Amino acid sequence: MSSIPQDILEINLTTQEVQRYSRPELFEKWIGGLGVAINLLNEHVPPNADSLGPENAVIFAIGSLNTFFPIISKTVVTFKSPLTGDLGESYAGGRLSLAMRFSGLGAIIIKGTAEKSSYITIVDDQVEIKRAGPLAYMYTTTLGRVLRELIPVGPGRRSSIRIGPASENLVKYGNVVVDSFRHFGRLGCGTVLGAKKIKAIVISGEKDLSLEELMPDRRVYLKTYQTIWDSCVKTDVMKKYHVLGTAQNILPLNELNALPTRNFMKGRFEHAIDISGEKFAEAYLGRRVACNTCPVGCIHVAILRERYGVDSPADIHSIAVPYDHEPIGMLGSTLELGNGIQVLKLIEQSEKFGIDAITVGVILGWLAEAYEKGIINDSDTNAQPIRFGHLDDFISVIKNIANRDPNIKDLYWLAGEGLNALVERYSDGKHFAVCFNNNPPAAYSTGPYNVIGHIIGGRHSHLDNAGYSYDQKTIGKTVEPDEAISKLCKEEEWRNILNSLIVCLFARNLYTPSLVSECLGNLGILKTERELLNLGLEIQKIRLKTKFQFGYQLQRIRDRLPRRIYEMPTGHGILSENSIKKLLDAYEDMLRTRYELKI
Amino acid sequence: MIMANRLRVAYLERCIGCYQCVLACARVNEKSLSVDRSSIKVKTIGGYEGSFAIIVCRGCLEPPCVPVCPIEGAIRARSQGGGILVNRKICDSTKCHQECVTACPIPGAIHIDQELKNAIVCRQCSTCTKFCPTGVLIMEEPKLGF
Ligand code: SF4
Ligand code: SF4
Ligand code: SF4
Ligand code: SF4
Repeated sequence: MSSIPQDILEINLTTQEVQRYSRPELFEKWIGGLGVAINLLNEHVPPNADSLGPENAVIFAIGSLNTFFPIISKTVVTFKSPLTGDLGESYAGGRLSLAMRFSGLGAIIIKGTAEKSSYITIVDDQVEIKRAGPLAYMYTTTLGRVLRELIPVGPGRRSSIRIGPASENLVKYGNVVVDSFRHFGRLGCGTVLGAKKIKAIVISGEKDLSLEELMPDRRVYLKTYQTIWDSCVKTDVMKKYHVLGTAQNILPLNELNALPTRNFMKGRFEHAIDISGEKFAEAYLGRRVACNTCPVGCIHVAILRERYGVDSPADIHSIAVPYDHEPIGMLGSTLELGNGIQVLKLIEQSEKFGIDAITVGVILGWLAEAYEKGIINDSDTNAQPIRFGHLDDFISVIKNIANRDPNIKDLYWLAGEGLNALVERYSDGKHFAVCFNNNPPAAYSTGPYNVIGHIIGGRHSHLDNAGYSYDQKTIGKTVEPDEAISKLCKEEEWRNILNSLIVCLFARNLYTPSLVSECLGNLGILKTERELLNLGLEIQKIRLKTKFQFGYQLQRIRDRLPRRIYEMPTGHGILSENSIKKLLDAYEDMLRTRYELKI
Repeated sequence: MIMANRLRVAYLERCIGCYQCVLACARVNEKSLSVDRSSIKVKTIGGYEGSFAIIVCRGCLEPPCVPVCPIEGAIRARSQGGGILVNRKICDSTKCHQECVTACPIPGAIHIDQELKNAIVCRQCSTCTKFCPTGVLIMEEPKLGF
């Protein structure tokens, strides 16, 4: 027996065939998670596959440490991204990894296309694909409630993931809602499921794993567990995540002139205090919850009281809305919404329709600027004004994008394709379309390394290599381009290991290479720190190879860099074109030498 | 002394649904990575939008689950502190009608493990209280006479 479940469930929606088989060599070599999911993506998706066609696959995987240690709570998904056209990779917490673990599944592969809207249930060894019928086009929030009643299983074991109308209408940045409040947010995983006509997947298992059979010495494991638990709970390492949550970043970034405001025109927002983690905690926070195995509990959930009538003060209902730094930045300061209630209403709107909050936030920011500059006008918007600071405008626009009509290629249809499609039609708006490979950045205008990090990251995410954090450490310092690039690349390689286990990245400072090696050792998986670092490099090579095979071209991103990144304020001041160029040149060298790519 | 105490879900409002208690009970008492085999469960009522419930034995001083058991020596009340102890060598769920489960008015507080063919129930060991990060669970001297 191994601590990594080696079973793979392969579901072909076209043929309705379900296979369950074991691949121990794959899991042993790549330690699970990202390592396994990226290899399976390569095996199952041909390079020229249409991301919305049956050849694309959606591959979920858990890692070797999931459920065994605190804060090892994530599941990875890989797919070909409809937004960027290359590597799609995303992570979510909630209960999914626990449900997969207790179903004995290391990975789930979903291929083909169902004929009609369907949902999948996986209860231990039983897999069923059923017609979704009236569940189709349901809001993700409503669907969550229906699924709980539809598939009742023992307490605390079920995980349900689902998509909203945006994904069903093939908006390229549809997300997947996991349980409540967690997401496979970025790069359009929901859209791929939408194209496959899979509205939801519910999974539950009740396997027990005997620790005595699994590990050389259970007592050593119990001791390691205790040490990690103590660091999580009794020290300050994780404090910032449970007190204010990630929203605590709003004020420090604003102070640094690094809080994207008014579509990246500004780095400071006059109402920052009103959308800060401090203000949310005081005025709106309703409760705090945790992903499975996480004693930190960073998920902050606000209670939004909403009046639906004007006649009586009793015409009111309240809903739970999760908040984090990223949605607050992108749906708040970027759009100049300076009041917590407005921001929560817009988060709720993206949540219902199942649309990625970061991506849609930046697209709304572009639309507002284009509208203000007259690049788009009322005839483009069907007389819907789109103005900074106007909540109702944005609420309508999200709805119009999510409910877009595939037969009318209007502004909203284009907005559902992403910024690249918008500026192809409205080229005067090109210079302020802030995205990298069609994927907008997260809300950290910290400096050059955040920009570079998004450009070079495998999934064009701030979490690939944490450029935003490196920016904050290098304010006032000069770093050679080679050194900076090497630093970011090595960070990304190490994260490939964390993403194969799969550690929540908030615990990255806790899970050092030596602790990871120790944890794996406790489970009888012997890997030295050096071996782990090498494996991280190998995984990076495969990620890059996959990107290039799917058609990624660094030069194309370089050619399309929006001028706004050289105009916007950042924590390092205004960025020079030359410094970005030098960093990218250094990265191209890195691609040739360290990653052995011919570019 | 710990053994004179019983487990109480004292501050449910603090629960963040992290599963630390669930996994700790299984890890330490059952030598297993498991949700099902744990004597304590966390359940969401109405999903994460709703509230949490902790399902665990209440540690009765006069436990109704004990006298109904037809097998001599399978289950007994603890001598001090409330709650019960199941003798796993004697308890055999195939040789009874799982009377203990039906007698307990708290659904899920005591349950049958299909593989072990035993009743699984809290033994008041306090492990879970030590892993709860927010102090939901405490051990205390039974004050109420149930
Ligand atoms: S199992 Fe139920 S009846 Fe028995 S001691 Fe516990 S709470 Fe009381
Ligand atoms: S399951 Fe065990 S304790 Fe319960 S009634 Fe049967 S023998 Fe007695
Ligand atoms: S007190 Fe001990 S036996 Fe009872 S639920 Fe907690 S860990 Fe399990
Ligand atoms: S350990 Fe505490 S906070 Fe976590 S689920 Fe159990 S009772 Fe709730």
